[in-house]
Amino acid sequence: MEDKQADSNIVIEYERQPVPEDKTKPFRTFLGIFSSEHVAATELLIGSLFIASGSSAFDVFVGLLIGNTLAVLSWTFVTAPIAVKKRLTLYYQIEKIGGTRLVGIYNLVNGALWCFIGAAMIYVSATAVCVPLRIEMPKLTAIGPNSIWLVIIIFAVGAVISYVAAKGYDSVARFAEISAPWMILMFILMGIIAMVQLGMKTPSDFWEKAQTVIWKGGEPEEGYAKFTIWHVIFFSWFGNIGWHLGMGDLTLFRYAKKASYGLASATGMYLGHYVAWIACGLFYAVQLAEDPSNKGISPGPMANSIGGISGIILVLVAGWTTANPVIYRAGLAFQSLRPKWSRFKVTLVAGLIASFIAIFPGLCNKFLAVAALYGLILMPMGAVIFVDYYFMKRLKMEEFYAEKAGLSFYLPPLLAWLIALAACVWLNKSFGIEVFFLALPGWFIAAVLYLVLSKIMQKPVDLIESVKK
Amino acid sequence: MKKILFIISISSIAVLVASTLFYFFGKTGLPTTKVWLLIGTIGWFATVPFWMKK
Repeated sequence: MEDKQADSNIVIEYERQPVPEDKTKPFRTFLGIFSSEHVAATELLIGSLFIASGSSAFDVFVGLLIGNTLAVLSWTFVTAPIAVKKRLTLYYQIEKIGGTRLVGIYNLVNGALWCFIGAAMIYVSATAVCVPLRIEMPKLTAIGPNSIWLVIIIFAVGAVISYVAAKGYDSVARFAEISAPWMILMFILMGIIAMVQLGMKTPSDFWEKAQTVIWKGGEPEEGYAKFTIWHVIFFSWFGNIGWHLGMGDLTLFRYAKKASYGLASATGMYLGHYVAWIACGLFYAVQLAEDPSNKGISPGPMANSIGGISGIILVLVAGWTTANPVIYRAGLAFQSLRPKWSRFKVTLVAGLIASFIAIFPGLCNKFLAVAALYGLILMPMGAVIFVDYYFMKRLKMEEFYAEKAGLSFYLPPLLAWLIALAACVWLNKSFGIEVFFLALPGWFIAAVLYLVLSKIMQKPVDLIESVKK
Repeated sequence: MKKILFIISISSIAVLVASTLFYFFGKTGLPTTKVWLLIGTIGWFATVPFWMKK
């Protein structure tokens, strides 16, 4: 009982000390966390958007397999080994490397990005509420809201989610725990129902319809990048880059007994980012089959036409249970800038910001690019941590330099972060490299920059201490 | 009591799966399937909190 209780608090204990060996968690804990965290409201958007982006069936089925495998390997061979060796949170490692002021900047950026992700989840939940109220959904090309009622519902849903998050999301964490097995099953079952609605009765039917009716390939919808197999591979690999190569899951895996526990991420990737994405593609295909002119991404109505009231509940629960922790984390990130601020009020403000962003359906209509951009912005700090861990001592430099030199701010990590992002913008503008691919060169640019800048700017720690004395 | 609630939860999952399979094999229509999905969903949420450990 105590173990399970601790599981739900896994990210907020031992903030400034290594997790003791006897407090590590079993492999099944990580299996559960990944399977529930990666079957979320946003899957309903992503699965549909592959179709709108003109992906072919082969690209989706093979590309997702390759991309998700690369993601699992990234967690297992990059994130988990550092997490298990150091057993510190991401934030504490950044503080040790770059000082408290760098963590403040990272938290500000992270909190703002959480608001965008939370906004997408609030929007998804709101589309479920719109179904019984018969509110017309925005079109695929919409940027702003199409009715005042949609705005009112989004703010109402956002207010409830924000209030619950501000009160502390223990009860929602419990509700998420209860709903997770049902949610995963419902995605699969509704996918099967959608298959029948699309006339897929046998495996050969399935592949034929997949190629000719669902993921037809060809030109994307207006305003969308054409998704090839490379796009699918890189999106599924880097969709969560903030967590693996960006090291966000150091906080989680510091509880792992062994680095091989990174393999637990396979449950989230293959259930959430393979099965659920494909199922959600089927939901969207049903909507298009019923009315080819109805191309808007509206998870509520989509799920209603397949699963009825249970489908609406699925969208509502998927949105609510994932939006709550996101808004909660955004609030914590902002509050860390000024610990005297009330967490309750700051979380409400974060929820208000997310609700305001959510009234723009353009965010969800372009969610593939938004998700890629989210990972891209956070990724360089992962490269900094990687280099600090593997190369500093080998190249006769200090790891955790800010801590050892007693600095509240150490410039190289921030410079590596900003210059790497500027280089990504340059690659995009000058060579037309799309946002989905930028994280790969960006990660290496950040790593090399941090190494070179450290070589130039690090002074011997004993010299700094003697100067201080 | 917990055992009974556990059995109801598992039965609810069985209802969800069975109703989908019946629909897949053409034994029931979509409106009927949606009703059974709702029954299974209610059964799950009404019973699980009482036996699933925190």
